[in-house]
Amino acid sequence: MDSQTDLREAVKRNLVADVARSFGQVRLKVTGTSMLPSVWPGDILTVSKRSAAELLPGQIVLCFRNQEFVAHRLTGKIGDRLITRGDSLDHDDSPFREDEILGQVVFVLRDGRRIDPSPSWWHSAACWILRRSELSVRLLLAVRRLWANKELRDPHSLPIQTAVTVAEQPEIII
Amino acid sequence: MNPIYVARSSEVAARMLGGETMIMSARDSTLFSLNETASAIWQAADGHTPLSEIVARTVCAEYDVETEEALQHAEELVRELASRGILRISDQPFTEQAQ
Repeated sequence: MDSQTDLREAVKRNLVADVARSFGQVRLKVTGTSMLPSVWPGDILTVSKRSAAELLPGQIVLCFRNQEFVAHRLTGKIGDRLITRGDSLDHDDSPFREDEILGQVVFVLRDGRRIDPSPSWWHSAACWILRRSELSVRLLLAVRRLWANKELRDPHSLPIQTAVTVAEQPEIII
Repeated sequence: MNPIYVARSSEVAARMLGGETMIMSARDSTLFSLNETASAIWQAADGHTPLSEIVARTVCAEYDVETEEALQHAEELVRELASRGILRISDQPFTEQAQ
């Protein structure tokens, strides 16, 4: 990516953080795979502002640190720090400070359906497998792609006219 | 023709990048990117300056374009932005000051 593209991406990310902090709710499109099987590439996350004290283990939280977003599951708290981990990852993230928390992922929109991101027994079993095998992640994505019969990572934008460009929700890699 | 007044919505976050303005709607998190000319109109949309005056000051003063034509394009632009909820338009000045 060139520096202008980098700058534009940085501005977009800061706008997302601005909206989350100022208006209490923001929507983002996911492109990463670290939250499989709960969150898939192409899913749209709806995030509501929460303080660290309001967040509970098991919830997915959106954090913003060093100009990067992380939407991972809260696994615990140490003092005023939050411990998070991607569902398909085998290691925790560096703890997040309260001021790096933007909110809780309250629901996931997938193919027009509203999905509850709360963990379940099958989810725990799937995570166990995904954490141990990169191949299983690839297989899962391939199956999903076949099932959905479409490319999951296609960004979608809709130029309206030369003066204004409109895009759907900004994308984040999780 | 009645004057048109335009005011920026308070339910957006906006940041400038060079001459471009990037705006995110708080309503649905849609991102908008305005080019330099559209940005100038957006920045001047204070709710009490008529659009014709904004166009004369920001577009006609900078570009070699007929006032009538520039105003027509500007009206299309502000109606588009209004339909997207990031700008408000009225035939009366807005009473509150735009942010």
